[in-house]
Amino acid sequence: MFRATAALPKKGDVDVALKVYHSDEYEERSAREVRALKAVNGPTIARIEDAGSVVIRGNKCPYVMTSFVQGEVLASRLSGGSVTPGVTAGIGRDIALAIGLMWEARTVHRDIKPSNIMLGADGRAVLIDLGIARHLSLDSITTTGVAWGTPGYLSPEQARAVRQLSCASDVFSLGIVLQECLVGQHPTGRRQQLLIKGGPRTATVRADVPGPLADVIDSMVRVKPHFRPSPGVLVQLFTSLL
Amino acid sequence: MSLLAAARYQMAIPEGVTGIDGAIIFPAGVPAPTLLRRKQSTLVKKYPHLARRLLDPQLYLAELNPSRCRASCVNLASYGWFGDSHVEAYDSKKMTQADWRTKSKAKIHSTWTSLAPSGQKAVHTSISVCVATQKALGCEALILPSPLTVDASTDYSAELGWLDEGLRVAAKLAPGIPRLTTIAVSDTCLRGIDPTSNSLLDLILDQVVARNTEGAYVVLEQANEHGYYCSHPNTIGSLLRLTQGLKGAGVNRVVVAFAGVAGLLATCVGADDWCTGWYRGERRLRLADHEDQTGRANPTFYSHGLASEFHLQLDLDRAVEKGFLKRIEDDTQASAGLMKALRANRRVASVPDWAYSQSNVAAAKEHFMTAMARETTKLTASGPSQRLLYAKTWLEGAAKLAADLYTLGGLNPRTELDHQDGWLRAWNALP
Repeated sequence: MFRATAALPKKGDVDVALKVYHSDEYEERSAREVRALKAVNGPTIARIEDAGSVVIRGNKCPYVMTSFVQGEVLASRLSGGSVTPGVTAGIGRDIALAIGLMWEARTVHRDIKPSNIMLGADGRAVLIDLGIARHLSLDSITTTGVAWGTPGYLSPEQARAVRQLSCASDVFSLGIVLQECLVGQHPTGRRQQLLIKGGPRTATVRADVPGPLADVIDSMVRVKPHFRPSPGVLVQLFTSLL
Repeated sequence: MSLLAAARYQMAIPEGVTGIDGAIIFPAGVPAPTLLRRKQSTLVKKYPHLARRLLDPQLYLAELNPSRCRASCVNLASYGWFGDSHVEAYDSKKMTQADWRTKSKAKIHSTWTSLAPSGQKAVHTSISVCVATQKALGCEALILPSPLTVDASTDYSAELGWLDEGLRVAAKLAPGIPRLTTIAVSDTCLRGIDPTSNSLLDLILDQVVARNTEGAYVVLEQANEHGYYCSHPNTIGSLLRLTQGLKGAGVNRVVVAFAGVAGLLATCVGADDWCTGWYRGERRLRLADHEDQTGRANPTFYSHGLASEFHLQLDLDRAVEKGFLKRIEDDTQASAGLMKALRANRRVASVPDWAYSQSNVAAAKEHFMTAMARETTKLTASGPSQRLLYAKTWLEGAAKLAADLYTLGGLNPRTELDHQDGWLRAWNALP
């Protein structure tokens, strides 16, 4: 549907990630992504650099250019095994910060997973690929009954294709990612149906996780979104654990 | 925990009532020229309980029918936050307020749109006026306006649009003043669904909590019931679930209005403040209550043990004759004479302050508000577990008493006996 690649932009010498949509179906989504991303700027989230459209084989194809984050994809790191609780808490802090920034623009990422998190050279985690971020005021775009995102990381409400999601949905997905960080593999084997009533207790996926960290992650994967901590609270909690 | 009095054109609370900690002003009941020309210092001097005050913008009344609800529509339109719905500005040099009201009521059907403002600019303007008015009135918190939710399958985007704009405007015009999110939901969206699985409630809780406002202002429209007491367990269960969910998620302040005596029940699951008055229009939200009427009220006797009131023409005397007095008595300063008479086997009609006649409601009002303040004070002094026990004990007793009173048969509908069991069931179903 699209490809992302590294390229050198015309202006400056910053590497960028370029996403080109090959279908009219994605034009609207691309436009929304641009609007959402333009309102968001922070150290732990990919920054929008440019957007527009190009003609490829006679078809008008929108594109979005975001800052290219140097480093290692978290999914790649986890393929080699788990990471320490300290690194996990750091990822939690950084991505919670990104979720909070997006929510200030009333945007929900909807696809937080290890392959959308980069571990930068400076040690910080960065949230990338906001391709399905949805600006919430444009409710009409959502298709009822279709859940966007990646099975195994969807919050219970996202899996039910609830039309209005809040940042609490991203918080849930991040909680699952953090459990995966601690274990080195997905806590339910990516079986979404096992997340209907919330995520598993962290102690059941890895017994030796420090209690305070396990408690924070457990609160993130509660079934009811309003009982999950806000991104701002999470940043404070994870910072206190570092 | 506070009991707030409903403040409309009449803002005074019954003489002798203590324990009322503040008030919510309802614009549908008082036109802007009347309210805004009163100086804050004069307002508080005359009505001390208004030292702590809120103003409910009542945007959820935007769909009132102007032909049938002329007075309320004129009052609401006079504040300037109902978009194209408008009235001529009052000018004291040209006419009296009474003349202005008469003139405005004659025209309101052509200037009231029955629609909430829509479009970014109109919503922004509406909220800006609304926030500025509340700030100028010295309200202790801002109630951010929201339209009424009447569709159970809504995605809530219209309400969230108002909320987000409200948060932006409040941050700019009134920084530092706490903001309360209005959650105004019709029972049409609540009656048919078990509250624990009502996805609309999930949606509201998720979205409101995620916005980190300082509080929530909960109003339920009673569109499908006619009594003073909402009886459907799903409606009451929804009120309790919303309150419990908001407080459980850390929302600092939850205020419940237009729930009648069920507002007191909401405090048992964490509501911080609840609002009521004695009159029907102060206890429940029902659009039909805003229709222009000339009827006058009759007194009723509130029995807290029953969680309800007695019609006074025959019902209270009949209940006493059948030996219910010990179970229904409720002593306050205002009811002392009535209780004394009933204990001496005299009839209600022998006590002038309580005799069943139109507008003879002063004692009934004072008694009701005193009883509500008394129970609120009692709950304020209790811990969370004591409040849960209080509610369960109260409702179990009320449901049993209501069932026993049914055996009398032929009671007036104003002696409401249907809701107690519904409230108990809603309570017992709470997670």
